[in-house]
Amino acid sequence: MVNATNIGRPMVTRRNRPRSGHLAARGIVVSLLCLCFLLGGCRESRTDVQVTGPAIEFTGVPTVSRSDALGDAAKLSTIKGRVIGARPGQQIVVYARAINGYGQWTWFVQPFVRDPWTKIQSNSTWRSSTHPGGQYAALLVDPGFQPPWTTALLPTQGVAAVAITQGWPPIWQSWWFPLVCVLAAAAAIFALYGVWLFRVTNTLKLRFEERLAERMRVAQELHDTLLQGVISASMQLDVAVDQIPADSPAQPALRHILQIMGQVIDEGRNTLRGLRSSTESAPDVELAFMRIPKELGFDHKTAYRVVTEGTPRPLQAIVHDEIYSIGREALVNAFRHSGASSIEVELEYAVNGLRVLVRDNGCGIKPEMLRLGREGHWGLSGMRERAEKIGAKLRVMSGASAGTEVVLFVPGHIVFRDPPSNGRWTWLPKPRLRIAEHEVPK
Amino acid sequence: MSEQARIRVFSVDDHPLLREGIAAIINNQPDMFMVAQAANAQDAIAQFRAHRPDVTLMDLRLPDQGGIEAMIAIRAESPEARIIMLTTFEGDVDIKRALEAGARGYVLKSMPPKELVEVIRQVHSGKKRIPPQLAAQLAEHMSDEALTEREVEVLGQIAGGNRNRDIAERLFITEETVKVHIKHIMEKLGASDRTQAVAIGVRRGIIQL
Repeated sequence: MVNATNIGRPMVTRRNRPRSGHLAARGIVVSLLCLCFLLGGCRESRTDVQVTGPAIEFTGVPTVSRSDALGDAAKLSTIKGRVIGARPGQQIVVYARAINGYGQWTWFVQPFVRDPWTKIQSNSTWRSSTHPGGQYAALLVDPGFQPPWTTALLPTQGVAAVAITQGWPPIWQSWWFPLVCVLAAAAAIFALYGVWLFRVTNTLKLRFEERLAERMRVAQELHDTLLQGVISASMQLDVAVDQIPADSPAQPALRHILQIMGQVIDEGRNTLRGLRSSTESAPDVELAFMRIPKELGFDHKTAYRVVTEGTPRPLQAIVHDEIYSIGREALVNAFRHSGASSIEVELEYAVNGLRVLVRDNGCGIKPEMLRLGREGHWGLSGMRERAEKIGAKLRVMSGASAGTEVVLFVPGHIVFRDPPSNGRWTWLPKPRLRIAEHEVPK
Repeated sequence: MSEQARIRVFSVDDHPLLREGIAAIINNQPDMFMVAQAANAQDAIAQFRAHRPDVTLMDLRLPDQGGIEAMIAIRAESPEARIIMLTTFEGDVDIKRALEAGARGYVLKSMPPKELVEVIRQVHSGKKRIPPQLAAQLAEHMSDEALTEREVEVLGQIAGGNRNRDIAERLFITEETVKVHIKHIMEKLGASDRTQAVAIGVRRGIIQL
């Protein structure tokens, strides 16, 4: 591995960090606040109120639904608790709060008007029956206390301690609570996904615009220098050919040169006008990969093939460029370092994205090299960086003498220009990579 | 042929190499000669005044202002001036603008020199001349809706690699307005993204390289 040259690419510095999606961020904040509120609400729902020295605590409260708590007067349930610091002779009076005949919240003594007392057991616990209510109150009262049957406000005279608790089930036990949690979590995930997508899209847009400006500059440069020069040379050659006698042996040769120059001028003009055609029409990835070994001047001894699976779909031009660069890097590694006898590229057009596989049967990459991903070596870091930029996943699998497999997966909404015609997920509101602000139906 | 009888040709182009080539062609013809050359619009107007050439070959792109603007300035002084636009690209919008502004001919630099001198002769004899391939290009987009001045401006900014926000700042309009302009540009040009819009704009001469 001594001669493994540095084939990594220079880092592309980002000029501007893309702003995160405000909407998505707001979504996260809102859902988190919702959760906090819900959980906070739960904690507050059981508050024990302590008046003086002695204290009452509920250990068992009937849990019924809200509608039962406000209506059903025929039902009796058990309510129980403990008392700390009660003097001998003191008793408990239980109240349940419900809506009376005039539509007002009222405390009703429990369980029955004729029997409002609850004895404190020797082990400081108490136990009674109660009708359902929105709230329950337990009062520690002195002997001889006469509890009112109903009251808007709890009595305080002759009361040593009071405890109040919610009558309906705590919020986390309600049927809709898990649903809200799931929804909040889903909202958070969607929001995060939105932020991620926004970033990827924004980075791509930025690079796309930079690239467009760069292409215009290059085109202008070529137009002003090369093209004008060649046109001028061609004009002057034309004049010179005219001045040579018609029977001169140089005539046909010069005419041929003129013809070639004409072709060069036409090609140059077309290239400049198209600003490089690859961005205009959907570029053919398969063809591009087919050409790579020839372009790089690699030998023909290695068996090389490109396989396409699925129906090819038009790709986003800028994403295509990145895929091509990553694949090319992988191929350079395979051809130059693996010593493989067979190298294969597989392009798989799936419903949810494009998978590019570069596989060889060569010597493999050393595991420590893979793990450490040493900067520059094998261009691995460059490939990873590129993949990350377009929101793609890159995996490199390699074993000694088992060859190397580089798998790149780019999600469909990033890589494909058009949505799948009858995909399963078309109902999902999926943000798409829009470089154009507007797409014209053809 | 006497000096007076020959067609006196004036060449305006900012590329010295190209002027050299055109001069070689013109001076090689027995019936014409190069009377003067200019490299920018300002110089072109002054030289025209001084030399009163029979036929002027005008580049579409000049460093100080457009060739069409220079032609308009010259024709304002001398309405009879016979001017041929000589350019690299056959953009229909350029051709239309040039003809509307009074150009007598429109020729591509890449055409064979024989065609160029033929057009010069015909224009000198008072005819108008557009090569067939340019006429076809013109006809193809005859019914297309033209971009407004503002839209052309926005397209030029896109070609400069500006983002919507930058364009809005430069043109003193809101980002929303920029988006509406871009939407209209895409529709009118039949483009599906920014690069394509720029490419079509360059090809049709809506914006210049």
